[in-house]
Amino acid sequence: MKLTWHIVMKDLRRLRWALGLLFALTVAKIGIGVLALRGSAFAWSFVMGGSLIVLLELLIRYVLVAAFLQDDSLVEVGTDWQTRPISGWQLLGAKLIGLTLTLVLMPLVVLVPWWLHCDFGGSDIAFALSEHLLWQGTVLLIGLPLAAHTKGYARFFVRSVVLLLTVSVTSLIGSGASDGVSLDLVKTRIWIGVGLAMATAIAVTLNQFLTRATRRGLFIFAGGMFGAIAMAWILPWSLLKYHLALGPPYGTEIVLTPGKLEINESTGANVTGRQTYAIRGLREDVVLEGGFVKQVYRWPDGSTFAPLGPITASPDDLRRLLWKKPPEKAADYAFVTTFGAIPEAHAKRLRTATTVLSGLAQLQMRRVVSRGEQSLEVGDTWSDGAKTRWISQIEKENDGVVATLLGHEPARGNSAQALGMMVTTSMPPDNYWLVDREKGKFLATKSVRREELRIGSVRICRSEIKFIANDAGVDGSTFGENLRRLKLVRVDYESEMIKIPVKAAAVGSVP
Amino acid sequence: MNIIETEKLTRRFGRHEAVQGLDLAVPQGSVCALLGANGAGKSTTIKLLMNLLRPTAGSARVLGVDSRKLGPKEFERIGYVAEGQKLPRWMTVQQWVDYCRPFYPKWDRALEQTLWAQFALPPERKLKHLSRGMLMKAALLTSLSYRPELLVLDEPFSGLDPLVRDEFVRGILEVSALGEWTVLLSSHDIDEVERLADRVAVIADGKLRVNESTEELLARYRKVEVTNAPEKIEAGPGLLEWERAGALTRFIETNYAGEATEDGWRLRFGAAEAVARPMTLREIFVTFARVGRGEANDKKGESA
Repeated sequence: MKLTWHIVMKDLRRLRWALGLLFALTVAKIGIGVLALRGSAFAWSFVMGGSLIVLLELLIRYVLVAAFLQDDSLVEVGTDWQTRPISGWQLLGAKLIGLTLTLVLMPLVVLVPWWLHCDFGGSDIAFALSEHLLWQGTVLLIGLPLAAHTKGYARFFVRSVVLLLTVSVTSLIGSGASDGVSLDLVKTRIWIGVGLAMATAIAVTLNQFLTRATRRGLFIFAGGMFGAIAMAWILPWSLLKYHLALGPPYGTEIVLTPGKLEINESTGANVTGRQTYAIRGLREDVVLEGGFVKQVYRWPDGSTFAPLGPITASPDDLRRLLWKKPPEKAADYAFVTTFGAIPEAHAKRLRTATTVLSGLAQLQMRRVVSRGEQSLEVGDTWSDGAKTRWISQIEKENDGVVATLLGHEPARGNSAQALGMMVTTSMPPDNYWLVDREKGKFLATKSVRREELRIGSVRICRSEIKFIANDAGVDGSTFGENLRRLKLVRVDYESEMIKIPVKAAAVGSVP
Repeated sequence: MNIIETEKLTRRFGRHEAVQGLDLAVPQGSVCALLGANGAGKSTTIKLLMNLLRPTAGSARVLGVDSRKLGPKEFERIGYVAEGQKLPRWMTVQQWVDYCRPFYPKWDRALEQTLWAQFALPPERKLKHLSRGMLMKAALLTSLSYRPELLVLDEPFSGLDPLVRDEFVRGILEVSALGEWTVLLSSHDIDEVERLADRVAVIADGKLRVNESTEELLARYRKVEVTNAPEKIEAGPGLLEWERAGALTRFIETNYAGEATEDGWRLRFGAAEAVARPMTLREIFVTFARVGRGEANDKKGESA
């Protein structure tokens, strides 16, 4: 182990300038985050500069994987280490330790204080760490096998580009093989294909370090990649259907009542079905999100299919939650499933006999979890775990009030954010309301400019929200003349995905 | 006991057979020179011995271990210096020596100091800024300081100017006097080899032509000139490069054994006068190189 560290130290000393540059870039990236939290508008130069740093960082990390191996090449005959008392395992261990220190641990020296500064809790840090590991692991799994089989940086780059193009082209061609295939099967194919590619990467790396049999490595690589692509294209079995079948039952009070299944006949396979469900039993403090309902049905022969269905939700639902208006009738909710082209064999059966299609539908619910009321003072801050917001500016305009809010929160849910992708969005935050405490009137969000910087697993938000009267009887020009009388009401929602069983054509036969 | 033994060692690159059925033995304690023209197969043989290349057929044993299984334990006992070796050129000489030292439990600090002084290497200069001669010396320092049982030098004189070459040879001679080690040296530089080697193996066209002590080899070869030899007499076994120019017949005797051989000539050539002259290693080497090239051309002609 001592000798392994000896090799690691040699590599780190050789690459100290590149490592210094990488560290400086990470510090610069986090520096942008710190500046952003101070409240200045996210200028384009800011965003572009940050994005450039992120790309440069990614590129340097990838090149570093090759750089670690260049000095102790596995491909060139007669590299100094090959006639020294160094084993393949020792060299592999040294390279992995060096790369782990460089790609994983060194950024953490900057990232962990950054996360703590942004009020990350234990689970937030664990999640951010796992995303960080996932990305660095991906860089390593692509770069290491390539570098182990390549002489010089130029070839490394060319082969990387060739690999990238090959994967892109095969994915493009392979996407055609997914036509008419269930989503579960596509997911199974992708997972198995990616798993095989990863196993191949590990196998060829081990082979090269332990035997330096480059030609055999290339054969293993070709075989593994062929297998991975073949699996991604032609695997006929979905492993996820077992997951679907064995999924945990979701306790819910919601009842979906299916209407009649309408079959619209055309010719050949152009047979479509339409099923409307009434939704009852929704709790008063819950609204359903509008949009598409994800459904998976199973035909009597066991095969699955996943039609899409739009859910209709009333715009007044939100107000009902916010201002506790009398609940609308639950029957207002419905969703319509369009089965699309039904295979002729199934359509025939649907027409002639009672057929029960059983499946699961995923509905997204929204429930108010907190209603914070803030006085409208610059600097006022409120937190919910690692999610923190504060008011950085308030301005009164002719037709309303403009408030600038700043905040940070863990950027979960999209692992690309762990890298620090910088984006701007114009997604309106509809969870702020401006209320006149004395008059009991309020202004709703009308226009918004929202920017986001995603830096090192932290999402920094800057929102300029304009509140304008939309209720009759509220004059926007006079509203909020006395800012002291206003308060900002923040409503936080909890979204919950539920899966509930659905049945189509449960009763009677289809005409 | 042989430190190196090969049995029908063969290596092909595509259709080209770089090494063909090589049976080589290097006894312990010898300084063996592997001679051959450019492209004869010397470096390939050494790379096969050092497990840098895999044999296509046959096998080799180095320090009693199959060359394909040479590992850290064996390399602790082997020193390897080659022309064009891929060295960490970003390091200074001192850094490189410091890097190599921990890998060898038997590293001899005193010997290292002796070699520093002897080779006059600049410790703070980077390897990439060293001349070829200096680079070879630095490589030699990191390969000798642990007193290897086997020192393998692949074309160490290539590209060195005469002064550096002389220093290098002197260096090897001096350090070989310090310990009991075996040296395998590949070169086509005959003059330097003659000073160093006590054993010679000649490779031509991938085949081993000779493998014996230098003394025996020099004693066995004679360049013979016969004046007025009978016209009907032609070359016989063991006679190379037979040629006739007017009254003069020239050939190379490969099995010269003093009086007995000269008696044989008298019987063969009758009253003709035969004069035998000892050959230098260079002349013997050139003879093998010509014979090898001739065979290769014959083979090409046959296949064409």
